Amino acid sequence: MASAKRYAQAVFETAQTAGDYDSWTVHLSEMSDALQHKDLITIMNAPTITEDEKIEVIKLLVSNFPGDFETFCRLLILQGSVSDIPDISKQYQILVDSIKGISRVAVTSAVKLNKNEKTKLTKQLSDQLGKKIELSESVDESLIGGVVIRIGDKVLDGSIKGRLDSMRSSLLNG
Amino acid sequence: MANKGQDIVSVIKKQMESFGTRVTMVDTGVVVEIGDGVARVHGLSSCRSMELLEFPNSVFGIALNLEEDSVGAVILGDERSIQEGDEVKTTGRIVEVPVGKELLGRVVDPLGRPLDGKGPIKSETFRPVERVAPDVSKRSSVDTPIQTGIKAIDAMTPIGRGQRQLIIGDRSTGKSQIGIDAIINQKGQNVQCVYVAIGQKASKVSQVVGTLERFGAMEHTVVVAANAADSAALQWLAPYAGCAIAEQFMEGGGDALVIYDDLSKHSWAYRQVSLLLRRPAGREAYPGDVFYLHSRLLERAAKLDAESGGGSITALPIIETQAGDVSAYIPTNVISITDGQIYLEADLFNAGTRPAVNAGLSVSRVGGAAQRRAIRRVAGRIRLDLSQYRELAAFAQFGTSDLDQATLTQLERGQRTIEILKQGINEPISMEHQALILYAVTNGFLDSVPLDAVGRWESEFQRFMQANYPEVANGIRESNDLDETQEETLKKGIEEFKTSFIA
Repeated sequence: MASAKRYAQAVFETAQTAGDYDSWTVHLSEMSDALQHKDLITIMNAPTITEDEKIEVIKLLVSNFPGDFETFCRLLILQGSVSDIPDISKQYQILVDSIKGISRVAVTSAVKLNKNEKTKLTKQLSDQLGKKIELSESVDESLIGGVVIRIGDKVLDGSIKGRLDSMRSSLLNG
Repeated sequence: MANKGQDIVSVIKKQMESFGTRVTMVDTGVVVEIGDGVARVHGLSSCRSMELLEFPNSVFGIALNLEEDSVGAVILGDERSIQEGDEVKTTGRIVEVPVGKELLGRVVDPLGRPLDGKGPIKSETFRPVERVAPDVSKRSSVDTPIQTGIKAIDAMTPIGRGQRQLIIGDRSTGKSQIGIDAIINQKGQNVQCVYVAIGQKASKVSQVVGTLERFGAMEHTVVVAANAADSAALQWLAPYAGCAIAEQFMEGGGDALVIYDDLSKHSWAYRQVSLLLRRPAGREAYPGDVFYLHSRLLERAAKLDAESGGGSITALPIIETQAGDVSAYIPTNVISITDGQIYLEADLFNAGTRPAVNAGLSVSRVGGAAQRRAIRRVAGRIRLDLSQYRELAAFAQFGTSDLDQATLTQLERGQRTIEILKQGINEPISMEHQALILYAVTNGFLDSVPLDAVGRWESEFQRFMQANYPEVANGIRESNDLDETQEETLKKGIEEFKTSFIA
């Protein structure tokens, strides 16, 4: 995990000099999706398969394969860290988001939010955080009401369920 | 009953009303690894060291290792309900414990939760469990004694308020008993006691509580217990919690006595936690900071100066040695931290010398200054007498027929001194009565009494003095000294008693 951060930083700096963040985002996420298949990791770590053969496999998976990405993959193959790519992709996205001033927010609500509510929420969050907000939403009926907002590690729990839970523990300990 | 139900309803109502609608941002993480009382939590980027973490189902943990992406935490409580992938929240609180007079008479765990079934602790005051010890400018030197009520200790290794005196010895040599006797003897002395049981059998802890209750000593005592079945984290936390409770008494200007029973098990618990958190192991597999573990705890025992209220914490840590080995890692550490030690020996214990205090190896580095003048006057020679006796006794094993009269007298005196220093359990003796009997033995009044009658002589003598010359004991109690007129009366009393005593 810690090494993923370093790789992501290196990729980020490369992308910065090239002035193109998005193509790396695409490549890394395509690779991450492909690595969902455990067999691919086995192939990448197999010592009997040569580096060139492995690169050929990757070429089949990634569209529009640029030279930068090839060298990056070769490096990871040599280090045996191909399985870190999903983490690298995540860390890279965090770095790109922070330079673009984007904050990714996951909102979980009891019922599906309507458009009006969404814009209101986005506006309030972007005012508070001073960043552009990219909202991703999901519905969880067990919340009963209200919303739970996640920004990275931070959680704002405004749900009825969360309130009931904390009320229960405060009553039990009171 | 209806009344009580109404009470509960109104309490709940009040709490519900005051229950804010405020939503606060909390830092969260995800459990990636759990087992053996230790969890690795991914995330928690703004977590602080020693912060209380909340796991699901109201299980709490303490963040100990803060790493780049994850936090190593120990679980306080049942870890079986926690699974990989569970969400962990920070609480913003450092581990704390309720303190104050409300805890007196109670048995609590290291987080201040009651273990005695006597209902919730009503204390409003909390203190962080870990705290930096009072610094030099706030301390004064140890000048008041704390009486343990044990003749051998008060005479030879006196303990002052604010001192740290180690009790060390093999298993079942009467270590805990010294602590318990000391607590019993504080009854009516305005000293609040804290007994910290670390990793002991629950049956033994309940026995101790029973003893303290029987002697009315629970009124001024708090028992903090992390038993053998509790998690290592709780055992590790227990002495710090006990110390925090005592600090509250100290900072209120009072005197406190803390017994840590025992720090050997405490270091085992900490070793377990450290190894599970993958901290590097050192000598005997203890982590590198095991010295600091105990030094920072015992440093919190202090005598404050008048400006800071003049309170004190006296600490009596207990260490169990293996086969008398005082040069093992933990014993040497704690010996070097404390201001002296009471060394208990299995051989002496088995030979019937109880308390089994080894006078040669036991020292008190600061308590002498605090000793009452009366005791210092009568007991000043005891250590010397005993060490000379021991030397001669080794020599006299080969037969006493060739020895001169002076040597024989010294041998007789030594045997009687040892006999007088014997004392039953849970029978602490007040300072003035100690002074009377020690005066009698050090001045040779018992030399002619047969050895097997010494015990009876002592008890009958105390009764005789109480009946006929109570002014001597009263005078010593009031002035803390034995002046010449009292000494004359005492001598007269002893002579009188000796003629009436039939061996």
